Amino acid sequence: MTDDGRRLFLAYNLRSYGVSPRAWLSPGLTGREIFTAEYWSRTARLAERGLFDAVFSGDSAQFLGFNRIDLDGLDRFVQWASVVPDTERIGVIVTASTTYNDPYRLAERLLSLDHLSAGRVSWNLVTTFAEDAAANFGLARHPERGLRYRRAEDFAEVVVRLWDSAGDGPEVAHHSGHFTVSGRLPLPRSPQGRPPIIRASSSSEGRGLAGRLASAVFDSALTIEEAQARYRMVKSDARDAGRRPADLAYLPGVRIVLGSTSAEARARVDELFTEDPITRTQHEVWFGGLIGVPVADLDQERPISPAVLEAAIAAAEAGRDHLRASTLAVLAETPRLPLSEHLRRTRYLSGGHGTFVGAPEQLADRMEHWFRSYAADGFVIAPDLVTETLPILVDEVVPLLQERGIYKREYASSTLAGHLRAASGQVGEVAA
Amino acid sequence: MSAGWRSIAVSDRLARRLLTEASLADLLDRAGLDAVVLGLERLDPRSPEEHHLDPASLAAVLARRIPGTRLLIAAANHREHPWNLARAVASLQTILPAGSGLVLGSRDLTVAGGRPGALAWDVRDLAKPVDIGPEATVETGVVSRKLWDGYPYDAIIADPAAYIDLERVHASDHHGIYDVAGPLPVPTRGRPLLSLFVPDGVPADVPSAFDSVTVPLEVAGEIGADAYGGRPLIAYVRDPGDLVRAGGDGRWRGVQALATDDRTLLAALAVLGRG
Repeated sequence: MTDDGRRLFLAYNLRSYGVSPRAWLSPGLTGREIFTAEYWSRTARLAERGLFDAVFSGDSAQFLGFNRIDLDGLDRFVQWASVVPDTERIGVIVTASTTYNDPYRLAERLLSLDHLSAGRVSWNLVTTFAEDAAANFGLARHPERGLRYRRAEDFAEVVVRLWDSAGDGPEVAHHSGHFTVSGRLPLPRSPQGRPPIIRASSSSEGRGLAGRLASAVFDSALTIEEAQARYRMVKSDARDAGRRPADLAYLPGVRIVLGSTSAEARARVDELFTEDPITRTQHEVWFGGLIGVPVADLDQERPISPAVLEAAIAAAEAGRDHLRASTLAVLAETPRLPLSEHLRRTRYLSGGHGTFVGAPEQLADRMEHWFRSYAADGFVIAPDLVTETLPILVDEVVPLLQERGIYKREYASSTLAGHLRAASGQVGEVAA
Repeated sequence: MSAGWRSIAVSDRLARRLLTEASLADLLDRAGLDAVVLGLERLDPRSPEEHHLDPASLAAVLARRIPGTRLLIAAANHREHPWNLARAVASLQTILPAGSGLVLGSRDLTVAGGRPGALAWDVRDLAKPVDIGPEATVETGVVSRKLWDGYPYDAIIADPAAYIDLERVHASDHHGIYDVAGPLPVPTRGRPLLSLFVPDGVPADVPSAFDSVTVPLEVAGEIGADAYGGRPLIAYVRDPGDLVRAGGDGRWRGVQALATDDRTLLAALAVLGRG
C-alpha cells in the first residue's frame, strides 16, 4: 500500500465479449454466450478469485444491431442477479440512466438487488449519451445535455432519499419540476447504508452531484498528467461538499490488449488489423489527425516529409496536446521509415484510445506508476477479449500488484461500500 | 383435477425461503407446474406482505433453485415504461432455462404516490404523460408482444460477416397511448407468456397478444367464458381449500394458487402438483 494506506480498487469491464470489434469470433466462443447466465456467472467467479472489487458493464436504452462492440442488451439487473448465487464478495456495478427511468422504480430495483446480493450493488449513474433511445420512450428528441444533467441531479436526490426511507426511515415528499414522489420504499435498509453511487464521467455538469453523493468517478484519461489534474479536481469536489477526499475515488478506465508476452499482445493487434478493414480505416483516420494530413493524400511507401511533422509538432505544442506532441516526437526519431511502417508501429501505441498493449509486468508497472503518482485510485479494466484476458490478470498481474504492496491479498469486506473504503485506506464496514 | 393450467404465485417471504431451503425448492421444481409467479402481491389488493423485492432480480436468482419451472414476474405499467418492462421480461425469457413471462396489472399497490394524471409514466414536458388505467395496460401488453416478436433469438447468427441478421429484426414502431420505436437491445428466445391481471373482474376486450386473463376467484362468479374477448381464463385462488372447487369449473383454463409460507405451498402442491 502507499504511505496513506491506499490500495488499488479494480473493476473488470464486461463490455459484451470485449472492446475488440471481433471479440465474439474468439475460438472457444459460440458468440451466444452473452445470452446465458453461465457466461456472466463464470466470468464474475473468476474475477472474484482474482480479488477484483467489482464487475461492471455500461448500458444504453436502444437496439444495438448497428453497433460493432456492444452486443449484449440484457436488462442489467437480470444480468447481474444471475451472478449473485455463485459469488460472495465481488461487487456488481449496475449502469442505469436517469433519463429513461423513473426514480422510484430505479431506487427499488437497485435496493432489491442490493439485498439479494447482501450489499454488493453500486449504481453507475448515466444520463444516456446516445440519441436513439428517445424514440423508445415517446420523446420527440433526446433531451439536450443541460436538461439531462438537471434531471439527473434531482433524480439522484430522490433515489438517495428513497433508500433512506427504507426500513421505516423518513417518508419522501418530493415535488419538483421533474418528479413527484410521496411515500417510502417497502424494503429494509441497505446492508451498505446506501448502495454507493458512481458518477460516469468527470464532466463539469456532474461535478456537484459527484461531490455530494458519489463514492467514485469513472473517467477516460489518456495521459498521466490529464489524470492527475482530474484526480485533484475530483478530490476538491468532495472537499467542497464537506466530505473527505478519500470518500470519492477517481477511477480511470484503461483499455488493454494483454498477452502473457508482449509479442503475443502485439500479434493480437496485428490479427485485428489484418482481419478488420474498419479498424484499419479508423487507424488511418486517427493517424491523419496526428500528422495533420489525411493518409489518403500521401504515398505510403515514402517517408513522411519533415515539413509535415514539424508543422504537426508545432500545432500540438501550441494546443498543449502533450500526447500528440510526444507521439509525433517518436515518429520524428526515425525520419526515413516509410509511412506504412509508421502506421504499423503506431497500432500498438494508442490508436487514440489510450490502449495498453503488452505483458503483465508492463501493465503492473503502468498501474503502479499512475497509482503512486495520484493519477488514479484504481482502474476499470476494459479488455479487448474478456474471456482470454481475465486468467492472465488473475494469475499474473494481480500477484505482481500484491508483491508491490499496492493490492489486497484477501477481501477485507463483504460489501462494495466496504471494498471502496478499504481501498481508500479506511477500515471498518459502513454502518447500515 | 383437470389437466389445465396450474401455477402458484409465491410471496416474497416464501421466495426468500426457497433461496435457502433447497429441499423445499426442489419439491416445488419437481411438481411439474406450468409456472411460478413472483411479485403478484404488488397487484393484489389483499396482500399482507410488508417487503417487496423487484421480481425480475428475484426471478434471476431463484431460477438457480427451480431451474425446471417457468418463472413469471408480476408487474404494472405504473411508474414504469413498457419498453423497460418488455426488456426485463425478454431478458428473463432468454436467460432462464424454463423461460419467463409477465402477469400484467394496471396498478402496483406498493409504489410511492406520483403526479395525478401521469401515474403510469411521467417525464413532464419531454413526452406525453400516461395515467394508469385498463387501456394503457392492455396497450403495454400489445407493445411488449411486438417488441418480443420483433427481435427473435434466431436473428443472432454470430457469423464472421455479421453478428445479427438484421433482416429478421423488426422495429415495433408503435403509436398509441405510448409511442415506442423498438427494437429491444436483447433478443427473445422462444415465447414469453403474458397474462392480464384483472383484480376487479370487470370484463374487457383483451387482444390476442395476451395468452390469458387472471381473475381472483371471488370476483369471478358472474363472469362468462367470453368475458375477455375469448382469452382463456385463469382463476386466482388465495385459499388452497378452494383449489379443487375452482379446478372443476369449466369456465377456467386453469388455476393459480397463492402460497405465502411452507404450509400453504404444501397445500397447493398437494392439489396441483404432479410429482
